[in-house]
Amino acid sequence: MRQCGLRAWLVLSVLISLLSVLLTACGSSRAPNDVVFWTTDTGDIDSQAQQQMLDAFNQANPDLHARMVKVYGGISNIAPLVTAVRGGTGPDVFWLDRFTMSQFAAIGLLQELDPYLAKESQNVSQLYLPFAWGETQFQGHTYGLPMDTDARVIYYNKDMFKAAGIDPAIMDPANGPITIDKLKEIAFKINHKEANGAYDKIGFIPWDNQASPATWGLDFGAQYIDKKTCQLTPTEPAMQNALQLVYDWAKEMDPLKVKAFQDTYQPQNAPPTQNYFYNGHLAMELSGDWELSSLKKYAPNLNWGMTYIPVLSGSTPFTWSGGFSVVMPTNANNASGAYRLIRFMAGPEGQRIYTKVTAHMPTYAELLKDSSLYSADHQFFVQMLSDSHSRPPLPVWSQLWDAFDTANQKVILGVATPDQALQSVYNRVQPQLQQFCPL
Amino acid sequence: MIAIHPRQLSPLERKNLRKGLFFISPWIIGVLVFTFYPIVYSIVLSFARYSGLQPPTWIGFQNYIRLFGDELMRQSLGNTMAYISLAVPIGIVVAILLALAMNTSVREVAVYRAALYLPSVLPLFAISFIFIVLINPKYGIVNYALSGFGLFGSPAGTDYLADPTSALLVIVAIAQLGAGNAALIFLAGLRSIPDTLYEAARIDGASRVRSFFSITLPLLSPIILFNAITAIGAGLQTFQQAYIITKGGPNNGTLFYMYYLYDTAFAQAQLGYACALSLLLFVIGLVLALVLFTVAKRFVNYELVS
Repeated sequence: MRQCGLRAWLVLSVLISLLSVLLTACGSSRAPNDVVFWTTDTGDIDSQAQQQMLDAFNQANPDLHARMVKVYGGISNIAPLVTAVRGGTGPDVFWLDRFTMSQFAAIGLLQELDPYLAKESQNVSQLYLPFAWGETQFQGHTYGLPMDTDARVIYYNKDMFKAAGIDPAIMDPANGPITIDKLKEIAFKINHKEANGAYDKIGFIPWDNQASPATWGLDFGAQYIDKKTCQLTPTEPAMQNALQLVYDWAKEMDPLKVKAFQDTYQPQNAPPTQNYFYNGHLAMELSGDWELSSLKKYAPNLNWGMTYIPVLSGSTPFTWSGGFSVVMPTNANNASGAYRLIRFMAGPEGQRIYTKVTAHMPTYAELLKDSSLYSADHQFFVQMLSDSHSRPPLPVWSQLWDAFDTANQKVILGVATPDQALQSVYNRVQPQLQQFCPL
Repeated sequence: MIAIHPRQLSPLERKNLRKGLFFISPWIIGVLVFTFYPIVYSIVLSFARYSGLQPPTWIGFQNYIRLFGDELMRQSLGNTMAYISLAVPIGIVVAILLALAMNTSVREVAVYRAALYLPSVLPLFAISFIFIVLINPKYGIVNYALSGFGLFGSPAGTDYLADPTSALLVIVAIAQLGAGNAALIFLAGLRSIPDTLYEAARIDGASRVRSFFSITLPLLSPIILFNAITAIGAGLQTFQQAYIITKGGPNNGTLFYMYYLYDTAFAQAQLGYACALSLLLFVIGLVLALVLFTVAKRFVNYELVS
């Protein structure tokens, strides 16, 4: 009988402890004045800048507490956000690549900011660069505020040029942009293979870093969409030429050997110092102004220079600009706090901090006139910004970008011609665009 | 055979049945809520366009029409089938070899068993991260070993992740590190084969190889069937290695069905289409299982079990 009673107590105590564990799981861990900020931009320099912005915000707004959560898995890893918002545990503010904003607004991931903007005393849209503001719009509503912008150039390693017997002065931007043919000639002169046939030095890889179908497409004048017919135009001549460039270049270099080079000297998940440009294996790299910060931090002794992106012909320099934004996902816990954080980060104070630390450029137009924010090298980018191109706002950019990337890979490996690869881009993405027509 | 006629349950049996049902009700509720309901919901959603963030829009069979015209779906299915056709047989062979090694009657067999089983304890995503370093074209130890043995004629500096086919083979190879679990089950099977059979075979003059193919394999066949079914099930859901090492590339050569489904559901936020994809996977899994069971009727020997 006593044993029965003891066992009963044991069972009861186990059940109670299990119940308490269950109840704690139901508890929420967010304080009412918390503003949770998620970012997939987890690189050292960028997250340092973001944290500084949050610290400045917290100091200026003692009634709120903004905190950062880093979301790993790549800068375009949107799946955690979508899943969390669906589950009601999403953040208050998210760091989103601006050109994808209308696509995610269309599926209901983002909240309109119009009610908050209407209460402002000034017309917020006038404060930002027009192209950047245009990317925040979807069906007449604003879904975020622009953060930074950028511009792209060719960085080159002067020592590798000299070692190959080429005078680096040929790249001087004062002479205007270099032609693609000339750049190819230089690149192939620098290419060098080891005894076993593997590349240990490469001049230029036109599908690496920021050298994407978008870059070459915009370089050659791609329009991406015919707004009148609401038809995507991936098979337009500009895109055909863009992929043809990659096709020919890859064929001449053997794409498997180039991939081997990339996986040797800059494998996946490698630390930022393990970079083939910083370490003197790649002579030329197409990258953005943010590289200035990275070069200062990770390759301070590199003898580098920069020049315009190569063009087919002519003397007009070309570059294009993208950038990020801050948005408020649906079901944000602290919507008013979120808006205040968004206004701060995308406002002059936030953008000032971000520009100084990361060497991106602001979209807050006033700040572009403040030369104290830009180093001598960075001024080169600022003066390019007024003539810079950008991607036309489309509600399918994330899918279109992925489709172009797939097409690029096919063309690099030589398993499809540019026309075939671009046709599959159309076949994949046009049906997705159809639901938004007319734009 | 005595025919058993169903009869009415007596009041006591009815009472016991009610009590029994009450006791297993948590499990029944669990199956209904967590298995049955999601399956039905998934089938219903496959006829809608749904992002999870806005109410679903009914679009009839459009998802299925899109499914059968989807080039990427066909490619991911092809990749998954190719993976299964390689990984399952190789996995079974590796597991049997491991089990045979674990079954040796030496004194330190416990040490060998632990050592052979250890790789399958490591989580797959951790192995994937490590493998990226191990197959580095210039510095990777795997490349070094393979080129040193002159295997496949590959010189040093070959990037096994550059070519879609070899990338798939790399993923098949990584999966073999998990063979320890299947090996343990094979080991149990091996140990249940009576020694008398081997003695009889030895007396009759059978070589060890002959007794392996005539005694061991047939009597292991139920376990081979079991491992084949679980391996096919796991193979249809391959995801981690592709997500971590190759991100589906190069040229979608390692884009597996589950990875494509994940991307559609969670990155593209197209839940309706993803549900259609999962329904197709379910049907394919069912067909494969049926095929396997039909084949098994001819080859599987249940003598030991009964």
